[in-house]
Amino acid sequence: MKGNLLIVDDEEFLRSQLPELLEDLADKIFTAENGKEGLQILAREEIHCVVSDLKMPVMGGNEFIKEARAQGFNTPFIFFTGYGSDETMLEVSEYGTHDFIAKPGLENLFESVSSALESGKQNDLGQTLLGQTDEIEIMKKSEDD
Amino acid sequence: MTQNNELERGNFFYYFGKDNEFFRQLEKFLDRVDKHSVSARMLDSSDFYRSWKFFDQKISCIFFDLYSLSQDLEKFSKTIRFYKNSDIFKGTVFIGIFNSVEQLQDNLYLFSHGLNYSFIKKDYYYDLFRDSFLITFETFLNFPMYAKAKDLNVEYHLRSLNPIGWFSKNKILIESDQIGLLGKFDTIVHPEDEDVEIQMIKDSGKNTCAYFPLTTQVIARHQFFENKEKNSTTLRKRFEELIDLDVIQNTETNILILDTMATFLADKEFELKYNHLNFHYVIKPENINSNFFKEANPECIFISTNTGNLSIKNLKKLIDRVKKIEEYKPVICIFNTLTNTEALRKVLEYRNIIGTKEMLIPSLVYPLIDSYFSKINFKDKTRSNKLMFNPATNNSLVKFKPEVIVTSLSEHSMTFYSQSVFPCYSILELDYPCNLILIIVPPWNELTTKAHHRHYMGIFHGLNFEEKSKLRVLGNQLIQNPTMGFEKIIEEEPVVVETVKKEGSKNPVEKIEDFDSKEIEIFEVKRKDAYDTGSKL
Repeated sequence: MKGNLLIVDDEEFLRSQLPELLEDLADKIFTAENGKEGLQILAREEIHCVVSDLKMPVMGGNEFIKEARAQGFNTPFIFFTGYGSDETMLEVSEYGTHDFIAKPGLENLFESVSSALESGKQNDLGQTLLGQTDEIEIMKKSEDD
Repeated sequence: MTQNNELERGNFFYYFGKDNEFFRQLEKFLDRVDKHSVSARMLDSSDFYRSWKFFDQKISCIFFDLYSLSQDLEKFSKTIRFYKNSDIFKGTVFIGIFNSVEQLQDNLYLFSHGLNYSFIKKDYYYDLFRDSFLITFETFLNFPMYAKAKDLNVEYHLRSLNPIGWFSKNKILIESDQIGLLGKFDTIVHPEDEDVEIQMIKDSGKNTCAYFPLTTQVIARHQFFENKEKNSTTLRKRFEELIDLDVIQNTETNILILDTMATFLADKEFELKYNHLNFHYVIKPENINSNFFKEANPECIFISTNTGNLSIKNLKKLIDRVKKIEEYKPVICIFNTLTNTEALRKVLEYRNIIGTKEMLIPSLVYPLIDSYFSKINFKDKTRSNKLMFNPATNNSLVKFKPEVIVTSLSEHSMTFYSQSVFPCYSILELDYPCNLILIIVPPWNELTTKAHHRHYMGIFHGLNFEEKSKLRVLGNQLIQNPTMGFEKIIEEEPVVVETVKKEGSKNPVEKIEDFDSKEIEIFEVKRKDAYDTGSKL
């Protein structure tokens, strides 16, 4: 089982193109135009990863994740964002975000969706911290001697 | 006590111990002098760490009754070092109650870890309560009055207690309360060697990455190894045996644990494993001021977040402060967050970060510290050249011998001029008429001035009856012969000298029952900055 994916974006082009791009990664891919529709699909289907835009009409990404968490969904969320950090990114991070993918390049989208689906299939989202420390850079201290 | 002081210190005295009578007397004392609404609480446990959760208020003073708790002193030393490096104990006075003078003398290193005052277990506690009140609230009770030798001019040297941060073949990092040591040649006293010559070559100005809550750090050239080589290989071997082999590879790592929920301490497996680390334990993020990262310089930062207490927004503000410091890139681990590592890196715009949903508990943190060490030691070979003594032994201490001129002396207090600069509440030692420990306190009467000198007042502590008597005898001798030096008196050690009562003085009766029946004058002493040298609390 690969897991099911929900794509939420108000741009029709992305709603039509992304499922084609990501079809090999997921069993089923659902799409929604805004957060409100996304919530309905979350309630109806078994979703393992949500890829959502942040700024959308009717219900934006921040309201969407807040409501989803309030309803008890721990599904990993990946948000599309512009470059750099902004207030909305900080807001959605409070509710648990798996990753941010910068539009329009969508770099690392495959890796991120793949790892989010894997996390979403597990009950426990905890990570093996020690595994991650390999990526940590250790500064060399100045020498006193 | 001023309004500000109340806010800084809080109004709670905690007693860790099992002696109900002690606690009864403490409550009675506080009732008697209680114009500051100070109340006492008793914690009948030696589990100092987990008792932390009770400390929901700002604590004025903690009594650790090592006598009634039969406390393992190594564990106790770790505790006070840990407490002293936590935000909620800034300004708290730490007092140890010991079984005997011998036990205290064997564990003098505790003062360099943050212990402020000591007391030898007796049946009466009045002098302990009075002195702890003085140190905590800068409020002096003029009962009892002691016979005091005044207008003295006795040249003498005290000893300061200075922990060794690390040492290499010819350099040594000494942490000190004595300010302004740079450039001086000096001799130090170590349990293994008297009068080792050192030369101060680098002064940090303040204690930026210290193991101990002292004031300054100085790196000095030393001749420990040279001396040993000249003397004998046996001595050198003995010297090397003193080195704590468990920690020699790992020196100088600062850890910050920002734990808004105090889950780290609440964990049943919690024990401070690492002797060689300088932990900063912060429960309230608002206590991390804008200079914190620059001064404390933590290399590993473990943060427990939960929405509200430490939101991602506030976390970003903290990390923005980290990013502003040049050549500073600590490893940051965020616990108890639903946000994934990659998302954290992007939203916080900081790469050296990892995140997990797990709680911040020792069984997860310690392997990370080990992992950090294995990497840092691989990368920074200079670390393995620095050795350190086990901090829970007197071998980890060296002593300077600042010269002083004693100007007054009683069995309770001493005043002295010194050209050395000490912060208020520094701990010093005397070795005459016996080994005595002194804490510098704000003076409760006007002290005279002398060019190029500072005039300090200190009170003796950690005395048993016998030592107190010796001090009383010395005080009385000096009253009769104020021009005599200490050495002179040694030669003329007298038969029995009765207490000389000065006009208006009373017998130094210390029973709390007497205290009940007296009209006690309670007055504020000069503020702790009376010496313009800062405070150690």
